[in-house]
Amino acid sequence: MLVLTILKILSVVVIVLIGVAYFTLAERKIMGTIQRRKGPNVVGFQGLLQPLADGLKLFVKESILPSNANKTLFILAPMLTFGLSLIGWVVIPFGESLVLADINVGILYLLAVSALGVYGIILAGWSSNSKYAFLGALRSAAQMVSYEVSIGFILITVVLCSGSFNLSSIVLAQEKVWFCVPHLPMFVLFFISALAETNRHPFDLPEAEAELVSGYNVEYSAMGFALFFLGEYANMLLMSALTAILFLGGWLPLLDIFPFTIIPNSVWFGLKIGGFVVLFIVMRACLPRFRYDQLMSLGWKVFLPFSLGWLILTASVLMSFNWLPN
Amino acid sequence: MLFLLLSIVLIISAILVISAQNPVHSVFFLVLVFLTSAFSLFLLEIEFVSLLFVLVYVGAIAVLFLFVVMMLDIKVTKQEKDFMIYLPMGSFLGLIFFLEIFLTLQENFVPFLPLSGRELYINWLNCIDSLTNIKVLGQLLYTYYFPFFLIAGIVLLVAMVGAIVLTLNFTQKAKHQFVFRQILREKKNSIYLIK
Repeated sequence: MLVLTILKILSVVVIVLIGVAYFTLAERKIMGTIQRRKGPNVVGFQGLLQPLADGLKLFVKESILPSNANKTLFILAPMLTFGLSLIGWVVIPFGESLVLADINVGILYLLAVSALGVYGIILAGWSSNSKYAFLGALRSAAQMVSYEVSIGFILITVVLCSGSFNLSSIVLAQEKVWFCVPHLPMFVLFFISALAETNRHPFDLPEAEAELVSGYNVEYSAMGFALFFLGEYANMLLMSALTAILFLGGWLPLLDIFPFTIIPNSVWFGLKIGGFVVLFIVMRACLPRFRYDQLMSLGWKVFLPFSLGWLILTASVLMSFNWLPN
Repeated sequence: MLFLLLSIVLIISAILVISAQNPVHSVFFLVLVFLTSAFSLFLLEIEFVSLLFVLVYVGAIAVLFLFVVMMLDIKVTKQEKDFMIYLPMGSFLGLIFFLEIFLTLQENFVPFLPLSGRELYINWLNCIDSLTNIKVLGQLLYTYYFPFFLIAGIVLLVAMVGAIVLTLNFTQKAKHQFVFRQILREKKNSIYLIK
């Protein structure tokens, strides 16, 4: 029984990690294509083994512990970030009843996990005992906390329409029409908030090494850095999966008729995640970085009122037409 | 077994919250206390409340605590002297608190002290509907307790307005960016010849 559980968990974790590895390769390849260069093409066939080589490089490098750092917390922070980015996958349904834990409060669980994710960053910044890392950590933490608020409102909108916190029921509620059709503005808003939540372009202040001396992870090297990196990319995949589940009908095929139903459900889900991954990368390649005050005012003065207003609109429409799900 | 382990971690970290030398460490232990209590609520199948605990206390309140403690630049505090002064009063208050908890448990839950001859206790499992957590909470909150719900909302609103009023200062010197003005700016009304 225990062995079976461990195997189940590994079957998700290993696949997520491979997905993360090839996410980085896809990023470099697609960005290379956009910028009219080749990208990595030496290691393995067409550079397919590049992520493994990168991982090996980071693994064998020397880990530097700053002498003034708080050692325990300094080592704990990347582990926490990495672990939290993986445990969110527990509630993601990959297909019909293809989910590790089908809990009733799946969305709240995901919100709680992403709320905990802030701690990895704060811990890293504080325990490094360096001004740049600390300021970077405060910046990233404030950014994540403020975009979480509008993400919460968007999630409540979706939950109102599906009548459940369970991710599988949310997918099943979209059998007639995907939520991205009636909630198109929220779909766009959610994706942008996901970009901000994962500290990604155009909101990637932690990566602004030229103007802000990077972020919370300046003092990290080798494996610590690799764990942050992996955690960040796993989070991006998780947010892509969540967007696909909430707005693009998760594992449901495009139309429930013959040529679309040949493709298995989980492959549909993978295709949707892949689409968002490409969108993440294209965003990085073609958008400039936001200034910090612009980022905050966008989050609090545009996204929050808009998502709150949309929530009230949705609730009143559902009430007045008696469309509320049971 | 898991519950026992969690409660041991909970109690140890609760002690460390007040005995840690570094205030930032004690906030981290406070976060650990919140987390372990949320996990133990999860084990008791009160999923909604436990996740709300993590979301609100860990995700928002403790982060703000941390921000404040980190920014205030409090270095390691000396506690030995103060500790002995506050010990009698603190232990007295703690004793009263524990007594109240035990009395409530004795009255409303399983009686474990041989104080009263009352053998019957309420089996709370029979009192609740077989509904999910959220539905039970919603049914109670929006029917019996709706005045309290509304009052809580108003209190939060007043607190928010107060915080905004306190921090908002209209100074003419501060430079503001108006995005719409920047977007509306055109070539014909921004470039002109000065004679």
